[in-house]
Amino acid sequence: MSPKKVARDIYDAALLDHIGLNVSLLVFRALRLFSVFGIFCVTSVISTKLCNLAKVYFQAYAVDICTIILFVINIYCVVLHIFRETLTVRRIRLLDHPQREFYRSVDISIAHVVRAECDQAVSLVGAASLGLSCGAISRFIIDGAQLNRIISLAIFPVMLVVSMYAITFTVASRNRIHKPTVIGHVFIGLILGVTAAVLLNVVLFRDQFMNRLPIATFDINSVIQIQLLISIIVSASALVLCRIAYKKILKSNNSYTARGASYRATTVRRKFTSISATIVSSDLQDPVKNMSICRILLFTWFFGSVACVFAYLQPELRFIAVQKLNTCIAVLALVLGLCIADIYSTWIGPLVYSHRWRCSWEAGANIYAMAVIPLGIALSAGVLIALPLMVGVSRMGGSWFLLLSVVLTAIVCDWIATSLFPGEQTNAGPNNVQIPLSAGFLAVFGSACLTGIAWMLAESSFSWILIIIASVLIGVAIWTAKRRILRLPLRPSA
Amino acid sequence: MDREKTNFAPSFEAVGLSLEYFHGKPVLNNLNLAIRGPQLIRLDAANGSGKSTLIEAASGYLRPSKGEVRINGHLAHDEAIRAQRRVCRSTPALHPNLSVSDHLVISANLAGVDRSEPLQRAERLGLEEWFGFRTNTLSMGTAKKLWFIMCSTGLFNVMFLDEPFNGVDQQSIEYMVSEINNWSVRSLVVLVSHTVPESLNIAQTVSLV
Repeated sequence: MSPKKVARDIYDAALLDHIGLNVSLLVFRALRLFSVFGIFCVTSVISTKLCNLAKVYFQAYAVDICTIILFVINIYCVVLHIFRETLTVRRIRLLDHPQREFYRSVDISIAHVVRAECDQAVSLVGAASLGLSCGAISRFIIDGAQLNRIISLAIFPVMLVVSMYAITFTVASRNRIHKPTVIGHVFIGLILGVTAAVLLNVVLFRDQFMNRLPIATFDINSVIQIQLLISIIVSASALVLCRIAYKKILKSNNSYTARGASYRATTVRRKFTSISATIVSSDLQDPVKNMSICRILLFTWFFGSVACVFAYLQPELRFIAVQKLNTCIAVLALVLGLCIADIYSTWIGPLVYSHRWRCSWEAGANIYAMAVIPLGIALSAGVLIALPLMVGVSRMGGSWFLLLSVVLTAIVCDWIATSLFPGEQTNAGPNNVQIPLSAGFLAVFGSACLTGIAWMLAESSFSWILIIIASVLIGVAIWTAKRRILRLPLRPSA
Repeated sequence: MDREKTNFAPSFEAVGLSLEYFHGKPVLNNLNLAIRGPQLIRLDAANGSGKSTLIEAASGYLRPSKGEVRINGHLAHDEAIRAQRRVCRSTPALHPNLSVSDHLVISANLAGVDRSEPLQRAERLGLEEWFGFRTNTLSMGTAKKLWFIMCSTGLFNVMFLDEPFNGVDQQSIEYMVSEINNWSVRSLVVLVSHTVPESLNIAQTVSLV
């Protein structure tokens, strides 16, 4: 059996175990194929229905508008995949796979493993994109749409799939992990943000209309041409990048990533005023972990400086449509909060420390310090990371308090979820923690619900209730983390 | 009267004990056991029969699905018993980025003893040359020796040892055995080990079957 096939078998078996389904690999694959086909059918039908609707509302422009919308959806998926692979813990997994030792011992290249792990996401998203395109094509062929529109629609799924593979392989092929500088990333984010804000200002307000955004007049046909060109260029370059990166990973032959740190510990026989704080802070010194934080800082400083500079250059725009602005803030804060929560709970969360904290408690360590310090560090990091966005949001007239409370509640929800469910904490390394699906679901669901509540409260005069909710949640998180140290949770029946 | 006695003598009791990691899949079922110290007891049973699970329950981390576990007369999860009990699990839970000496200092701080105690014991086990090294660079045997010292620092009167000799060299095993024998004079030591060195003063072997 080829290593590629074995890697796929291992991934599917691990996924089956993770989900808790008691079926054979063959049945599981058939089910997956069925769901991929189901997604394709459902999205095809939805797309056809929406195209019919577009035809009623936009008549002659329906094809063009639908093509542009589908282009935006596909580009959005690509951007989302970039965020997933570079800002979340996925980046650590791609750069320093937790089972690297295992795959090395069975002589399976990490390239095959990355490919197997990527196939799952690509097949689901690709099926949805293909369904949307096929639905639109089948509808517009009947109307006798121009060939360039049909080609555009047909090329979108290809662009999406190839781009997703290219992004994943490119991240995984970066074998050298160097310690990134926080200041450097903050500076780059700031410069990029200021430049983007100035450019945006020049493009949108060149005629300086007061009190309203100018509606640019453009030729829709040229937009379609440009969009087709972009799709072809992106697909072709992604295909080339994909091949180069995949070959690079294959060539690396599971070699170890050279870490900056030496074998010797930096400090020996220190005083240890707070054992928990020392352990948690030393756990955050890893270059891979620093890199993820730097990426998020780049993101927050970029958008924060865009908002600040834009508000400075166009003061008339401030305070307009605050409600819409707050809705955007809530969504942005939820995504940011979940990213931060995911990273910190995987590094210093209750599940990662469950065994070490348990042994420390047995040896006499203070349980409150062990429950509070990691959460305190994660919350402080959340505040510091979100700070530039908070400043930008308040400059634009939005609610910085909403942003802060959503970020903090996302972190706390994740903490509670990972404390409640038993997870797989293996001994293969500090990154090797498998957060159970149920915990992930609870964290996302809880955070989303609380974001809705926070958004509603921010719009009312009862925003102070958010402080009470946040305080109660922090208390619950500390209690559940403490409980996790004292009591091993049982797993559901295998 | 009987309860008062158990409060002072080192003891380990399991009453109608059932343990499970998964709901409805018991590892141990209705176990009754009463051991009093000071002495060295060896728990013996085949692989997968629940020896380590019993130790996890004795540590108070795994709560019984039925029955109870008592250490020195207290329920195993009672905080009052924490200072008197030590548990040395089979898999070390060391911090990968801290040095060996950092771990020893931490264990001394937690146990409230002078740091010279674990440092001197570590020197006797040949760990001195590794003091400045991160624990993720240690071999299995070296990590096990460090773990053994960490889990037995300070004063205690009940000790649970799960496979402490695995991967450890003969010379170090002899030193560990001498320490275990010394503890068994004043404490109850419960040992789970498939490797039994001859010089170990085992008072009795308890079978879980």
